[in-house]
Amino acid sequence: MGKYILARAVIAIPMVFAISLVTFVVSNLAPGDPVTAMVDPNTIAVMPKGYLEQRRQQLGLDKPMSVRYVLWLGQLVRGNLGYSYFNGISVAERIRIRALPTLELAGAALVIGTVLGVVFGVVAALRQYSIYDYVLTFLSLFGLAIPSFFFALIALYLLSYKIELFPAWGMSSTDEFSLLDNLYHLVLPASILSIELMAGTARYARTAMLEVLDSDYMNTARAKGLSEFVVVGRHAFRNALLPLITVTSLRLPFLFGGAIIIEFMFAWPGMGRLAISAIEARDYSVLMGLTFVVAVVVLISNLLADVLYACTDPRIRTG
Amino acid sequence: MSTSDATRLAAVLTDAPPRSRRTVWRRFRRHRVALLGLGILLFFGFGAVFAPWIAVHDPNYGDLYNVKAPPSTEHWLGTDAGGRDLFARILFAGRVSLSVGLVAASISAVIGTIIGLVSGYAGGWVDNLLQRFTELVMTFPTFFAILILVSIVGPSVFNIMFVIGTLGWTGKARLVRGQVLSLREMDYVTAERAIGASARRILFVAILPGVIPYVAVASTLTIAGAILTEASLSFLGIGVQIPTATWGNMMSAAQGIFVLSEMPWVWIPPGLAIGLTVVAINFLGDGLRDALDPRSVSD
Repeated sequence: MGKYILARAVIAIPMVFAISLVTFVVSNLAPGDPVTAMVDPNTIAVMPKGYLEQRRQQLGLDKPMSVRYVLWLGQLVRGNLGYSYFNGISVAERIRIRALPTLELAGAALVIGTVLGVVFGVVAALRQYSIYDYVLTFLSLFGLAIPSFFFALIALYLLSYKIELFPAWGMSSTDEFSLLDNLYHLVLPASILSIELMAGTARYARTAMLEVLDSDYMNTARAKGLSEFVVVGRHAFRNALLPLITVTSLRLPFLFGGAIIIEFMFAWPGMGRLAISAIEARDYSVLMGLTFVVAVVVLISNLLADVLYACTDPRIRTG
Repeated sequence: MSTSDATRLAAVLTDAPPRSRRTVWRRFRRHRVALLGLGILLFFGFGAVFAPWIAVHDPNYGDLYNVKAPPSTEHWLGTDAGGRDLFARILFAGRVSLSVGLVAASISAVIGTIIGLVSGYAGGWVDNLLQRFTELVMTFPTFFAILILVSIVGPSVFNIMFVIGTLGWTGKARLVRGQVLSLREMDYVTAERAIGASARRILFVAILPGVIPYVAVASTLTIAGAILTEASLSFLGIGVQIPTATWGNMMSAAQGIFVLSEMPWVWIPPGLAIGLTVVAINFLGDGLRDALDPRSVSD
C-alpha cells in the first residue's frame, strides 16, 4: 500500500506546478496593467515622467512573463503568495485570516451533507418503492436542480425576516468570540451549502445500496444465518459506501464554488467573499493566490481520499 | 433467457447496429417523466422564442408610475423597482438563460468529444498527457475559475457561454475515451482497419457515431449545469449585466432586504423558472438515456 500512496503523491507534485503555471498565466492575461489601474486617469496626465515606469520596476512588472513566473514560484515555495497590488497587504496573510471561516462553513456542510445524505439514501434503498422512497427521490432531484442562492433567499425570507429565528448575516453578533453564538450563525449557511451535496450523496447511496442488496453475497450472508442487522450493517453498508469516499472528494471543488455564493449571501467573512471583493477590485494578485490555495487544498483532499480508500479497500491494500 | 435478453445478445453479436430514430422515439414516448420534462421545456422554450409577441410590455421600459407594483391584471408578475414589467422580463430572460445553456453545452460537447476521441484512439503518451490535463482541469474549482475568467474577459453573454463551455468538458472527455477504448476493439472497427481505412475514417465514420448518443445524454446534464452557473454568476452581479434580463440577474435585486422581504414577486418566479427548467432537463436526460442505451432493459 505504501507503494500505491507514494505513486499517488508523486503524481501530485507536477500537478501543483501545473496549477501554479495555469494560475499565473491566467492572471497575467488580465487586460490593463495594475499600475495604471491603481492610479486615477486624471492624475496620470500630470504625473512626473518615469513615475509609472519606476512603479512597474518596483513591482517587477517590467520583466518578461517567464522571468516573473520563476520569481513568483521562488517566493511561492517559501510560502509567500505576493502582495496585493492595491494596498500592499500580504496575500498569504489575507487568505490566512479568511481560511478558517471558509473551512468551518465548508467542513460543516461536508459533514451535514454526507451524514444526512447517506442516512436518507440508505433508508430509501431499504424501503424501495415506498412512499418514503418516492418523496426522497423527488426531493433530491429538486435539491440538485434549484440554485443554492434561491434556497438561501427562501431561508432568509422565511427564517430571518418573517420569523426571526436565525441571524441573516455574519458569523457572530458580538465582538467577543463565543462558540455557541458562532454555531448559531453557522446553522443556516451551512445547511443551505450542504443541500446539493446531500441530494447527490443520497442519490448515490441509494443506487449503490440497491446494487449491493441485489448481489449474491447478500444471500450467502443470509444463508449463513447472520442477523439482518449484520447483513445490512456490515456486508451491504460497507461495500456500498466505500466508493463514496472518492465520489465525495470529487465533489469538493463544487463545495468550494458553492461556498463563494453562500458566503456572499450571508456575509460570512471567508475566502469566497474575499474572492468577490478581489474580482470587483480587479486585484489579480489576490485572485491568483486564492485560486492556487483552493486548487492545492482540493488536490490534497483528493490525495487523502485515495489514501483513505486504499486503507479501507483490501483489494488495493494488498495489490 | 427472455426475449429481451436474446435481442440484447443479438445486438452485441452484430456489433449493436444504431437504433433507428423511430425506435428511439417509441421508447422515449413511453417514459412519462421524460415527456413531462419535454413539455416543461417546450413551454419555456415557446415563451422565450415568442417573447416579443407574448409580452405586452417592453422588458426594459420602466413605467415610473407603476414601480414596485405587485402582480395585477396589467402587470401579471408585477414590476420591479424601476417599474419594468416582470412578466416580459422573465420571457426575455429565458432567451438568454436557455441559449447560454445550449451553447455552453455544445462547446463542452465538441471539446470533450475531440479530447476523448484523440485520447482513447491514440493511447500511449498522448493519452497519458491528455488524461493528466483533464485531471488538472477537474482539480480546479470550476466556479472559481469561471468567476475569474469572466472578470478578465468581460461579462458579455457570448464570453459567459464560452468560459462555461471551455471548462465543462472533462466528464465528457472521460466518457468518450472509455467508449472509444471499447469500440476500437470491436470487430467492425477491426474490419475497417483490415481493408486499409485511414485513421480519420475509422475515427469519424466508424467510432464517432457510436459515441454520440452517450455525449448527447451527458450533455443534458451540462446544459442544466450551465444554466445554473450562468444564474449564479448573474445573481452575484458578475455575469450578464442589467438591463439585459436573465433569470439569475432578475433575482439579484433580492440581495437588498426590502426586495427580499417586501417584494417576493420579484425573486420567486425567476427562481422557480430556473428550478423547473433544470428538473425538466434532467427528466429529459433520463428518458434519452433509457431510449438510446442499447443495454437498457425495457424494450
